[in-house]
Amino acid sequence: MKRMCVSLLLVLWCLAAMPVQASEITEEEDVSQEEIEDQLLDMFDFSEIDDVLKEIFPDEKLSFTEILSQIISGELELSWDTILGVLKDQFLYNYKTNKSMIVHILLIAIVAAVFTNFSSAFRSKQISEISFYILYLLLITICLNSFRVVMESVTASVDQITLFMKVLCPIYFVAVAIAKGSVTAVGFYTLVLILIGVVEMVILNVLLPLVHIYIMIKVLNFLSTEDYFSKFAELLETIISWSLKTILAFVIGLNVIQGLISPAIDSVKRSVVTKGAEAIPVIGDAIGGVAEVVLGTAVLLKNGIGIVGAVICIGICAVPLIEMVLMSLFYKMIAAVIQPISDKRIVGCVSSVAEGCQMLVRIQFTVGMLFMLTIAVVAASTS
Amino acid sequence: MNIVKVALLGVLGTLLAVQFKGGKSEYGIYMGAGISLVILFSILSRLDVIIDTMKQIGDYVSLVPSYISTLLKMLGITYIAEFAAVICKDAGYQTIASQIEIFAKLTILALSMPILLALLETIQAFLS
Repeated sequence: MKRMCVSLLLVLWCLAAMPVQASEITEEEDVSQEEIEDQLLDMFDFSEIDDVLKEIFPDEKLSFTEILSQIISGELELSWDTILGVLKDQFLYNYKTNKSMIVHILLIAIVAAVFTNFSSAFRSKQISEISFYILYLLLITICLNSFRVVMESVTASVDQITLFMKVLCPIYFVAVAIAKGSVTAVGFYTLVLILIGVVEMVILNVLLPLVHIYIMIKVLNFLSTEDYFSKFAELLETIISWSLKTILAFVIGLNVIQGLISPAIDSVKRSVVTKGAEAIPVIGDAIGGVAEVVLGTAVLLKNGIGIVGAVICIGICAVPLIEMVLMSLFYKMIAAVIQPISDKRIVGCVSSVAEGCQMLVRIQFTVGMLFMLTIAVVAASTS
Repeated sequence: MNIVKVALLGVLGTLLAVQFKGGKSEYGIYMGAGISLVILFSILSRLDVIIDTMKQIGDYVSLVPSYISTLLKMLGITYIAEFAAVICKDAGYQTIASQIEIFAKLTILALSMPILLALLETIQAFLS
């Protein structure tokens, strides 16, 4: 959790550092800057991104260009009220959809407790076992169904985020190439392609199915009174958390190294060109001035695209993330409430679903983090 | 029949049966079996309440009705088996008593098989 907070802070810091360039451009250059901005904007083709956005957010009409121009001109308003409103809506929506499930699990736990007491009137243990099986059957049907819904939404959002990055990257790195130079752009572009590949291969095809197996193993483990599979479940948990950490460390490391080397190469190349142009007598100064404005605008545009990309990444991740956090909290709450009255296996089953949701939270968070960190590092190291 | 009557019946029956212990101990066993039967049938009037409650509870958690009837059958089987086994033991025939118990256990096992299968099927459905 601490690691998550630290990395989140890092990203926020990087993002906050980005839009400063806008104020650096003086008013005299304002007119020409706008012209240059328009010309530069015309160079990009955002239609593909808009198509993907329409696919991801079918209810809202999001246009990449509109958000971009709003961000560049500083008009985009993101107040606490809207964020809190979204959070509240999400909470209420999730509570409403899961209410019947919560009540059902509570009832099953209570009934299981009643049946166990009831059958202890006889010496035979069989009845309490069978009645436990019947109720466990109901319980896992409810738990696994709701878990499957969460799982599907995670898979969908990881899919969406890779799809979005696939269309964002070509445009973003063209902007980087204009603002900083081709070496940086190519270097980071390869990095992002690797990142997308890793997310698709490792997270989508290995880690998410592992979480599914983990949940099933846990559920099977509580079927009997003996602890048969708990170590296996622990092993799976370790594998999942270690691979997530490794991927995060790997990507951050590559980003930092890339951010140290290639922008420096580009700076050297560029300064050779601009200094060379400035050295031309009479028109040299003018060329230098214009080059500075163009470069400043290009940086602004690049950071604008980066911020919009990061915001959309957050948007894609936020809803399933909130859903999973709430789900995990609901399950933990149910486990806490039924622990005093019910069989410890039923409590274990409920709390293991909560653990599964927590794992999904970690996976989703890591995926979002990877892309946002990359965008943030690119933006910070090319400014 | 309330508990006071049942208790009185039981204690008087036992005291009477003790009288036969010296000479004709078999009469004591007959009496024990008879009184046990009377008590067994006197509980029947209370069973309605239990069955109704179980059905109601089943409705709350949308339990499949056949599962409840299976559970009730199992309760009945254990009750009868324990009753018979205790009488046999009282008469000193341990072998018969344990046979009855084993029979009951196997019957319950057979009854519970569909439930176990349903459980495994549910798990399998989520695994695939």
